[in-house]
Amino acid sequence: MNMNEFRPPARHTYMVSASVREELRKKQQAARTVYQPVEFEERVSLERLAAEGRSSLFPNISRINVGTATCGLAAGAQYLSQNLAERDWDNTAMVVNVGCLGACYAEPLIDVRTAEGRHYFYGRVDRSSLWSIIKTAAGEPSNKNLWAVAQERQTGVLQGIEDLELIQIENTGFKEFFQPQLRRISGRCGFLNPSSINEYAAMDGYLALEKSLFQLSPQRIIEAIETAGLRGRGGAGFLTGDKMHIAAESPDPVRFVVANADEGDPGAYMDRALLESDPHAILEGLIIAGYAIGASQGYIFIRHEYPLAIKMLRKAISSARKVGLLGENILGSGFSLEIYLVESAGAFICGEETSMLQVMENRRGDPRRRPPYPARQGLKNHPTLIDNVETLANIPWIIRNGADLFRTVGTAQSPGTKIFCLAGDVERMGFIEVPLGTGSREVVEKIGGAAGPSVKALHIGGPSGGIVAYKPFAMDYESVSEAGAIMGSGGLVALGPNRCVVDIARHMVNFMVDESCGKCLFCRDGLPELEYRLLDLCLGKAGPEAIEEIAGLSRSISDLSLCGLGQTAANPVLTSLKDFLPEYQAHIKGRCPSVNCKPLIDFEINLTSCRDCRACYLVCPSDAVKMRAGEKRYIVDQQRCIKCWACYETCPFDCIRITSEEFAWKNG
Amino acid sequence: MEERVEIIVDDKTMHAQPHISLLQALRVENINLPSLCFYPHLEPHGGCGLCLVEVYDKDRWQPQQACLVRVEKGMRIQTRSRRIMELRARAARLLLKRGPFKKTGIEDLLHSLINEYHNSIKSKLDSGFTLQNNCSKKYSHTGCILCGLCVRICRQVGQSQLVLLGRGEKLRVGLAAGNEDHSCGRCRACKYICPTGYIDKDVRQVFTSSLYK
Repeated sequence: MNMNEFRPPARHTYMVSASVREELRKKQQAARTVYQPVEFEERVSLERLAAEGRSSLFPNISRINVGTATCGLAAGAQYLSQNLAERDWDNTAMVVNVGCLGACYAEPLIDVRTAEGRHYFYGRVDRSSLWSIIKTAAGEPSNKNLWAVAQERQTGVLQGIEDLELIQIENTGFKEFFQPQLRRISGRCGFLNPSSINEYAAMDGYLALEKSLFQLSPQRIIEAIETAGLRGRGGAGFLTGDKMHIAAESPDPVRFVVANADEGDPGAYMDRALLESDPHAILEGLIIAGYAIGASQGYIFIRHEYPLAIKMLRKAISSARKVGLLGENILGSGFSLEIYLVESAGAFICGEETSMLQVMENRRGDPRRRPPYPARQGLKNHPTLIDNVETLANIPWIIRNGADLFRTVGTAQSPGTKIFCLAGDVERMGFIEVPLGTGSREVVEKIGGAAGPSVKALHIGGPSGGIVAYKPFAMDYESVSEAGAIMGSGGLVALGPNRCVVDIARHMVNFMVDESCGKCLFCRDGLPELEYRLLDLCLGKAGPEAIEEIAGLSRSISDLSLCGLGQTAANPVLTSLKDFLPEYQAHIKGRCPSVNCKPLIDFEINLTSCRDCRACYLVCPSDAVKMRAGEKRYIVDQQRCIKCWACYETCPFDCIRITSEEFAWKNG
Repeated sequence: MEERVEIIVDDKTMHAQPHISLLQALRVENINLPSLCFYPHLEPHGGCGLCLVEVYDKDRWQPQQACLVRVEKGMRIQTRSRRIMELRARAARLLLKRGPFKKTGIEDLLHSLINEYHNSIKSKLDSGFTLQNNCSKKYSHTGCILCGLCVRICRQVGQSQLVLLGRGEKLRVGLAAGNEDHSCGRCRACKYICPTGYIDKDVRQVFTSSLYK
């Protein structure tokens, strides 16, 4: 190339007057000034916070704790709390809205703490028992609706329900519910005001953060978590320490921490309970995790369907910022972390970590293939540590008490405690925290209060978990997978003998059909097909080859799906096929052993003990019970019967018999 | 160009270029796996479930979509095992339910895959499968198999006008919302790449007038 042809890019200069030049210079300088973060109030020391918190946690007057987490609100705690708060107490009592104690079956639950450290627990409170609460707060304990009385072992020390000594028990279930539990990370829930940072500090909160910032190096924190052997509580059970190690070793200096609070499993609500009752514990865990891997930004990815948890978290973040526990230069240690809240728009798949990251980058929430794992390449291709809320809540406990103490409970492979959400055919539901490796019998029969034979199966781990026969096994990651299910997030549903396993498996597949993202063929089109086949079974229309077909289809769905959702979507079917094959076979013959599938059951009236009270005739909504003259006075017209069970439930003499016979379509 | 590595396909040793899609590597070696959602110049999607191979992973054979697997040294692959044929037949049946297709060649391909499996196990077409009535729900976009080719090519060469909308069963291809006034480039790449002939006219017409079909 001839050098003459090459011309440098033109550069123009303009002649301007000196005053204009000066103005321009000033403007440029103004634009260049560094953004100064708004200085909030002066940093408040943790001691001062704790002292303030103690004065409200252990006041000289009575303190009425009203459980107003979502479970309490649903039971009507809002009315009670308003009613109590509006009363003119004349400085003898204060009313505080606290989170959930865990005993969701007892909501609305009110705990009255008198000045001398005595706690009166009132369960299933209604308007009529408000008077007794008011009297108790005024110093004259009343027994109406009283469930238990407990005394603080040392007045002014309360870390959890273990610090209380039961001295009077009116409701024996209340003691049985709490006694086998070990409340490490959910101990504070239900005692402190979740919107008050002071009370969290008074319960030894943020001490772990202080310790890790000033006494431990990031490596030491990761080592502590590794020796503790903490496993991710979100479902897969991956070692958290390993994840942190990978992220911390990465050459990329920009790192993120993300708390996964997108808890979508039906029947699991431990994250919600923690966020609503003790949001600061999750913040503290997130800050420590951020410090350990050297992250500069933290995110909390939370379900849109948890409005109260979002509100509590927002409050917690702003109050932590105000006292200098979050933001620039935390506690003067030089470490800075910002935490942002991201609300999911409500898709089950977005709880999966790769698809969650896609959503956070404003893309469609489709999962991608792993590896690369997010700990190496996550959000915006930077190393990202993603932890479940419960895992994060464990981190401050480990830092504060040491890894060796953490290992004292649980099994060697899965140490520590785990929160389960107990529901289904048990007497006492709620979220419970037990050491990993606790026997299933202890959880269901002792804590749940179910009679042994009344539980047929356990559904562990939500819709991607498994339905396994109820037998004694230890509740830890390995034993649960051996039993055939997965731990999942910890939803535990006990199924009674009248729950049809086929129908429940169909219901779970139906849920997955709606929540599949639709990328892989087998998950998108195979799952509806599977549901259709299961529906055939429940309707009694399936042929003899149906079971083989269902098993084959389920296996191909789990083999050929890309993400965890598809791979586990057929789990309820596969596990229940293993344990409850006779039940499936009975459906092919047109019988439902658990008398649940409506097309497969018939109602009959047994006239031997009938006293002609006509209750069945009167209650039947579809005029299916007919009265006649002669020997058979009452018969059920099968054409009209809608199988609503009304006659069965009404009959005072147990004359209604349910038969599950060969089913044939009467209408062609 | 990187050095070619050895892979074992159906107990025969072959050489393939590393780190490319396995499906493409096999096609170079004249092993033609059926596939409906793969196009060499687009990122693999893994949506059709036909290009299946069994990859030996640790101690067992794991079925995987060949388009998503990268060629690595010393891989062991099976392309014609019975399990693969069964899965492929299953996928073909699921795809057929999205029919009828405008390009009937695709139906012939899917039928031949099903027949191939049934011939191999020497059974007649099993009774559970009939073409017409086995569909539990009506799909809203009959004739589209949601392979995502149009979406990907539009992102690559077009104006990024096509997106996947909805999820699960209700997943469908549609026009991106909010920019009605900008017309798409009319490059018709989607029309030419569509394997089923679902996009046979102007794309805007196909996706907006489905109400009146």
